[in-house]
Amino acid sequence: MRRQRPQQPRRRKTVYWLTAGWGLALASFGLDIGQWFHAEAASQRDLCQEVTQSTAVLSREQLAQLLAIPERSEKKTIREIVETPYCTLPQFEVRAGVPAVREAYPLAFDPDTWLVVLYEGEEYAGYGFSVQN
Amino acid sequence: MQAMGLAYKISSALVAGLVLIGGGSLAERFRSQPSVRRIQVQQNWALQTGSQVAGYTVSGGLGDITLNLSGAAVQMPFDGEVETTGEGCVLVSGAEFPAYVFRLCGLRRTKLGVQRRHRPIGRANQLVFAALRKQPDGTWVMVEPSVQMIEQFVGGHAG
Repeated sequence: MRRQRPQQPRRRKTVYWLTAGWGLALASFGLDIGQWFHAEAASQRDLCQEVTQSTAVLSREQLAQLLAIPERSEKKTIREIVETPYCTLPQFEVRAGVPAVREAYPLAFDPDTWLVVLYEGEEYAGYGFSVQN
Repeated sequence: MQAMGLAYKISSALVAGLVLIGGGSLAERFRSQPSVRRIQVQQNWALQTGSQVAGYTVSGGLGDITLNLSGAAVQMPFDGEVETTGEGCVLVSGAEFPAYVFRLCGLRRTKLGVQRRHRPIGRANQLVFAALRKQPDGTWVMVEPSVQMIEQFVGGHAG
């Protein structure tokens, strides 16, 4: 009985430290998760500014044809393959004095992936694939 | 003895928890491992950013815009990727801005890999900025960036 008594405070201390450790670990984990959700929300916010054709999708054939078109071709060459886009992105000036128009099409066979096309005036500048979460 | 048993259980659970969390961060690191990207600039000037003159490095060439940031943060203007050129500069690109790549030199504490919009990607005293537009032959041509575009990189400090 006498031997066990001095050990009591030490055990308690160990339990306190362990609890504190757990607390810290959980808090940092929570922060990580929070940041992740925040980032997800931020990315989903503003791909589309205005939905123009809610049923518009891109088929494999259309995508293949579109990717074969060289940059700096005329806008109408693209529009002959794909018509009205699903939506337009906010207008933005990348080059000084040249407004860029960006249009997006979800892929019919992979709806989480969107093709973004950029035009400057009547010129097609290029494409990108945006993955939506 | 029961309390000691409990302490062991708790400590082993704690170790397991920490290993899980540590593993998670490590996986994150591997997932966004930086890649080197070299692009061919169409304007093939003799002296370009990164060239050497009498043993000194050219920190800005024709077509670059240098901003005096005094150590301020540079942020990601869109969801995209930060890749090193292997010569002390980075290339920033994203799907929302097809056909363009932005070259940033002079960054320190650079964050490479896939980055979310508005995340800081480094700090700079003198940020040397260039906008490059894709050409049909696969080369990139230096173009004049808009004020709006540069502001997206230096965020709240603009204006």
